[in-house]
Amino acid sequence: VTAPRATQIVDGYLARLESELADVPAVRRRELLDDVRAHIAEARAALGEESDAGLLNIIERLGDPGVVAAEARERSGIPAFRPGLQEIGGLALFIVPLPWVWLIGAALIWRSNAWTRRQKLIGTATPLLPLVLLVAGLSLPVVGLGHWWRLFFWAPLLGAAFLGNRLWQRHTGRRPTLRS
Amino acid sequence: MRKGALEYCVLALLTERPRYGFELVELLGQVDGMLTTEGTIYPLLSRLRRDRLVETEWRESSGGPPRKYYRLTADGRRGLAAFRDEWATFRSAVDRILKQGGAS
Repeated sequence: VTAPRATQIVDGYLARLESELADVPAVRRRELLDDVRAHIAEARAALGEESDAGLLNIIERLGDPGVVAAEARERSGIPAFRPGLQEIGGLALFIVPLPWVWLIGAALIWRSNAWTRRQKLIGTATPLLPLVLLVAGLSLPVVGLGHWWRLFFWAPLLGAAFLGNRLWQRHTGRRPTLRS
Repeated sequence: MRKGALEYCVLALLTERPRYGFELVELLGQVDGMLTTEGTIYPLLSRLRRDRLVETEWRESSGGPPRKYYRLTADGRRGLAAFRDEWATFRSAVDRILKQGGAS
């Protein structure tokens, strides 16, 4: 197994677990991620020769991140996660093309425990994307000077689509599968 | 039922000496069907620690990074002893009923 490939498998699993643990208190989430990371390191050291199959087997035996997170929630007395009005409303307001409505949407999204900090950052920073592009001078060849402001309309949709996708994945338990 | 018994199996594995997480997973893995998803052992261990049935300490390992060892506390020993009694009673009661059911 190549080093980048192994890193991709392990980090991918840990990232999905972290995402599933978004509504678990930070101390507990950190502890569990550290424990699982140590477990993977021990199991890898116990493998004679490392292969994709060997590594995937370790990950497989750990179990679905959703199942592990559900156990953590249960052992911590945290109710099962359900996306509610706050998440749906936050996303709905976020795609209304008015800056002050975005802000309310963004506030609701940030108050929710459905996403990790990183996902919230990626998702809610998208309205700033057109500004970044403008400053970088990239938007001019793409849409022309007269139309770059239209990106303000589309950029939040991208962010909302990203956050909505993560929410849907958590809700349905469907996740990208690992393939060797 | 398996889930409830699992925590006492973990405590039982710690009676002889402290062990680290991966070691516990390997020992439980030797018993078929005891631990179906290995990752779920860690939330369980965390809960046992918060309930003060076990305590943790970091120890150097040969070669690798330090390991987190779990050690049984006095409360853990008491809890395990109580479970052993309950389990023996429960098991013989179930056995009796199962045997009667089979005979009739």
